[in-house]
Amino acid sequence: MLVLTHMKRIASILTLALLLSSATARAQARTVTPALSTIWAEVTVGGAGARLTCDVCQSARDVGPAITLALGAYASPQLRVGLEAGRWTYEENAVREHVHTFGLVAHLVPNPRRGLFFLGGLGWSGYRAGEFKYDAPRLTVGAGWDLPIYGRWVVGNVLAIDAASFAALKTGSTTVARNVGLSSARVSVQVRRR
Amino acid sequence: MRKDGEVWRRGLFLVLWSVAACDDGPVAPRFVTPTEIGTSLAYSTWTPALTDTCTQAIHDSYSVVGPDGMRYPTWHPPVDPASGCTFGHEHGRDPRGSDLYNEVGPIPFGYANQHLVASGFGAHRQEDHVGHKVEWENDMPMRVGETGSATFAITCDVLTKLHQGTHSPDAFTNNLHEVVYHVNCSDGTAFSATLLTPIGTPGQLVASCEHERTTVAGTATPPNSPNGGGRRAVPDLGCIQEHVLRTDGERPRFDSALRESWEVSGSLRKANGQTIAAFNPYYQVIDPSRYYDPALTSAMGRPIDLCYDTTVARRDRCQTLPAEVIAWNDPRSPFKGIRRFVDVNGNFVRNADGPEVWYTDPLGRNGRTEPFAGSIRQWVARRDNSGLDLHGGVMGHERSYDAPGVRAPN
Repeated sequence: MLVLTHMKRIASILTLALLLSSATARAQARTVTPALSTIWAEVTVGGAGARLTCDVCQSARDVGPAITLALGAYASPQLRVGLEAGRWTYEENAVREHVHTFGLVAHLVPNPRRGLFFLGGLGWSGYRAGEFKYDAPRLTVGAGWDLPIYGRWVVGNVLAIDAASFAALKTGSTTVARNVGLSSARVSVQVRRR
Repeated sequence: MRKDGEVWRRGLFLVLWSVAACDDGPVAPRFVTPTEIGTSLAYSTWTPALTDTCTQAIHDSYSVVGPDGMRYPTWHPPVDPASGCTFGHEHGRDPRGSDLYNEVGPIPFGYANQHLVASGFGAHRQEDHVGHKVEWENDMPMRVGETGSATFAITCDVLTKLHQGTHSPDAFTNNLHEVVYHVNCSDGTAFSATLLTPIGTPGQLVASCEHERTTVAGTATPPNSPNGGGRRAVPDLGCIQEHVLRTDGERPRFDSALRESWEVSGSLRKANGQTIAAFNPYYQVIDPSRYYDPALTSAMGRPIDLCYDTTVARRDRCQTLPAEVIAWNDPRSPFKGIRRFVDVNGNFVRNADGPEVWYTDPLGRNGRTEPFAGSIRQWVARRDNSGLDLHGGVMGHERSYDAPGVRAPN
């Protein structure tokens, strides 16, 4: 039942992403790519399935809403870098879990004339649930697709995987589990001003 | 070729030696069976009466040698499978189904009590045989801290026994009761504790229907029994008047009036008072065969007698009674202490440095690593589960231990 609910959520997110993509694809044909500014800003909204990994951690991957905000600059037409902050949350049985992220992000655009880009990032992930907390270094990899809609604005989809590890899950100053990992898989719709 | 084999053998030896060097050493067994040296005070104390059809000899055949080499009574079915005779009482769930049974073996009833005087406590505790009640559950999902099961997935096997007599005035004033508590969890939390645990304040009870109402029921027995935390919530006349002898014409509710809750705050402690393991299960009985009424003989009333009050007759738990008046110890009575459950609650271990085997006095205190006069053998895993606040579930809810011949006292 829980899995079915999660699948429905993912399906909803993907449907939304596809609708946006098809609408903007039509717009793309009419849009002339403008010159890039030096600064870019992005917001992504979607869903992510996140879980902790340890001997006694809950193995179910909880699917909840996720949002990221990023601000950066273009190093070249093929590379933009920036700072990204994100948040994921999930509630079950009156217990709310949160994941906060912050770090550097880079988008590599193999061909600026096409929409495809790859993303990578590194930074910090923090998990909070009740009295438990987890803070660890994080790596992010993913890919996205840009579709111009108007002027410097683009929309698209992002698929990303966040992985953090080598940290302890604690309550206060007490360690309750060592060598804990935290992973999440994100599917998002993005809006970026380039 | 032979030289290559030698190299491989040496390499394999080094690997195995390295693995062995990383290990903390062999785990001490939870239960040991020494040579039998005699019989315990608790052995062979039950004799048949009224409708019981089993002999004392059959009953005595259900026994086990405890860690001290003494023979103790242990769990038996309410009906002897070999002869079909009935014992008239039951001890709860068959412990042989517990995943812990292979580790801990049959539970000796009265092991802690046996050593009370030798430990220097200064008084002996009389516990009847029928009050020993076993409950267990395997693979119980546990809740962790405030997050329930959102963050962690930990399961535990729990096997416990409490002496919980709910048929006599004993527990009105006596707060010292033998508890056996075995737990084994997937996170490594594990211990086996046997102790006489003081439950609540001696000589005082708490009303089952209103836990804020306390009653001084008499002189503490034993007189030097300590206050142990927790509480014994026992039905009193006030609960009966509120929920059974109702003046508003509403249906009597025996379960609301009678439900007993013995809330244990048990622990094993070192000589310096430091906790080695702690647990606080609540043992609940829905249908005791007595309630506290200071105006009656022995300050004790019988719920079955209420069934013959005109406002209660043929209603609620009295519906199934036969036409003739039956006694409190009749197998047909609906009040015989057969509907029980246990709230497992917290399980705490502070024993990261070991050892696994500890010896405490029968009250679970003065823990040392070597046996001493009147000591009880305890087992605690080398583990510190600080911060987990591992607590959980309910064992035996909706379970009834009724069986042919079972009657109060049970």
